[in-house]
Amino acid sequence: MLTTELPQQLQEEFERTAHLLHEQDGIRQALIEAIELWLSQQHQKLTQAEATVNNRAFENLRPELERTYPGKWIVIANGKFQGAANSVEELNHFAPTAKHRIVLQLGQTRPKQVELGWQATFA
Amino acid sequence: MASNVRLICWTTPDRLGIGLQVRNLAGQIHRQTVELVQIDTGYSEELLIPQALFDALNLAYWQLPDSVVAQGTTVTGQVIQFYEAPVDILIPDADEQHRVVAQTFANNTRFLLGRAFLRRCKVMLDGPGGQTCLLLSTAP
Repeated sequence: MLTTELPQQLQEEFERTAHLLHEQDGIRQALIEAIELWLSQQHQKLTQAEATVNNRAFENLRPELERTYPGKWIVIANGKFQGAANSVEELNHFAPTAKHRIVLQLGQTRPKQVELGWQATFA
Repeated sequence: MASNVRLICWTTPDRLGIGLQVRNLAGQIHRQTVELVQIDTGYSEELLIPQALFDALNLAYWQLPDSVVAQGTTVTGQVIQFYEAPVDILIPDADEQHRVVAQTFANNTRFLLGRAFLRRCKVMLDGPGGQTCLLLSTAP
């Protein structure tokens, strides 16, 4: 059970809106939606923070990794090189609690430019 | 020598589309039944998925580094930074699967197959029949 006190004006507006939108069980339903939204936003922030650290680590380690593991799949998580393998599936168990990992086959090239048609433009 | 061809078709009036599932590298499938995904010949790569699906399949766990990932340009010149990760496309009706790189970008809601995916398959638009068919070679 969670108990907390909200600023009065915020609480009044929240209760009024929750009842308008959800009628019965409105406050509970609105709180669930609000907490789910908040958790999703925080999850994205944490993932982005890990992504920044992992990308920086990859750029620092890249020359050495390319010399040591040409053609192998590598994984970087928590800002560190975690391991190398012959297939991407073999890397699945590295850093299991990480929200973000960099996974790449060294030497793999990707197109520099992607064309998006009208479909994506008017999404 | 003539080869035998089997057609797997989906009802797709006035458009091209293939029924598929997307699977992450841990085996999680995006839904239990196939989803009809439109083929967009204006899109140059293999698979564009909604950002929500990228998140739901936890694809940040297999993400390609920013320095390797391409930039996209829309027909209006807007530049887009992608997120990319390897996934499997399953086409259960044809008993086929393809390892591709899935792409998304911030707030993307479109789910599309592009030209790079078409290079893997023979696809036929049956206009009068209002369907898209995959042509599969079978043993004679």
